[in-house]
Amino acid sequence: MASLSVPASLSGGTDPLVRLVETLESSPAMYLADSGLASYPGAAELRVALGTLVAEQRDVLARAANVIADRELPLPQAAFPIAFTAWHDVDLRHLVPRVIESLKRQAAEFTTLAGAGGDAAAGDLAGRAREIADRHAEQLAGLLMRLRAGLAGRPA
Amino acid sequence: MQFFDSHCHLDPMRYGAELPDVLARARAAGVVGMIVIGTRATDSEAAAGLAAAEPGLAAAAGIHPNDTAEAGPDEWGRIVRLAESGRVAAVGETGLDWYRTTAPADTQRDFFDRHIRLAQRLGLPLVIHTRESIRDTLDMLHAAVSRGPLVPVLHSFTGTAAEAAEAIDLGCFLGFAGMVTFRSAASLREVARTVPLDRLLIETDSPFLTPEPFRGRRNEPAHVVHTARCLALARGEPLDAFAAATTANARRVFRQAATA
Repeated sequence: MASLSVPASLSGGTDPLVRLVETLESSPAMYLADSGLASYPGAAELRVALGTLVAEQRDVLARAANVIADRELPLPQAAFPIAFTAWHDVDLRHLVPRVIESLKRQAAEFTTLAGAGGDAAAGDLAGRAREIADRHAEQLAGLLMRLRAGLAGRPA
Repeated sequence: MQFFDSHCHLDPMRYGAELPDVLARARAAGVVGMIVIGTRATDSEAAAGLAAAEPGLAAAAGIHPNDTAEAGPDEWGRIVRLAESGRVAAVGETGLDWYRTTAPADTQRDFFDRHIRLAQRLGLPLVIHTRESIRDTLDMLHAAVSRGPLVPVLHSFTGTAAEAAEAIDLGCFLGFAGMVTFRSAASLREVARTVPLDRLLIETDSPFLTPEPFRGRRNEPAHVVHTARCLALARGEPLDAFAAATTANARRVFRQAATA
């Protein structure tokens, strides 16, 4: 990731686009992907589902980056919490509940951002990010339930 | 250059017939010392046997916090007898893990306390696993050092700079494993920069925590070189000096550890 710091004028989470980028970039799912999803033990179905989630979120991040670049503002850079580094080699079955919790928090935050008004591009991206968070939280929860019940690989 | 892998699990169940090749690759990479860590009585005994047979290896005996619910009085007795036998260089892997709740918190605390007191009674270093439990771990160590001397090793450290400083004030050595090499672990590299060189250890935690550029493969002690290189770079220190210092630290902590 780039190492650009967030300028004082944009820090503190007041700009909706900055908040959107920071929230997505510092998320548990992004950390798992960034540190190598394939290296985490656990069911392949969870790995695939997390990969799809991150791909969709990265698409939102790329669109947000374009808007920020068009506005000639520096791209914000969020840091992962150091606690995430303790997750290595933990089975994804134990980590996915953390991802689901974070998606629920994201959905609430993106709802607020989408409804804030005044920045149509940010509102549009926040709405898309909220839809992704809601959908994947539900899908991951369902997948986890099926895995726990020994039904992985069967239609939901 | 000489490196010392201060924490690895080399029991035959994990490496099987490949173990001689794993050890040969480690030695070829310059790894002159390895502490083979037990997580149950059986692999602790195997670690002691391996250490007796292989130059440069020393063992640690303990019951991992996640396994404490399954450990009965007989198993703890085997750990005590092994530690008392003089065949191991450390007590552990012990500690607290609030992430995986396979063992109740009270059981983990009980076993951690037993390991602490055993290490203090025998004058052995204590190898500690702490996951999402650093506050409770440090609190128990504060209580322990108020009772008497203890040399704690916080293996695979992932705490903050403030927690690292508190641990160092307590007399801890901090072990850093493969995750410091990950692109996403800039915050951990920042913490590693704050640790005094004379309190720093390097480790692989093999077969877990494989560093870059080997992510996705089984880890082995030879890979500790990559963790050392990353840490030396992050700290702005020459690799040879960093390797020499961390090797000397490990020899100082694990006094019985032989050299190849």
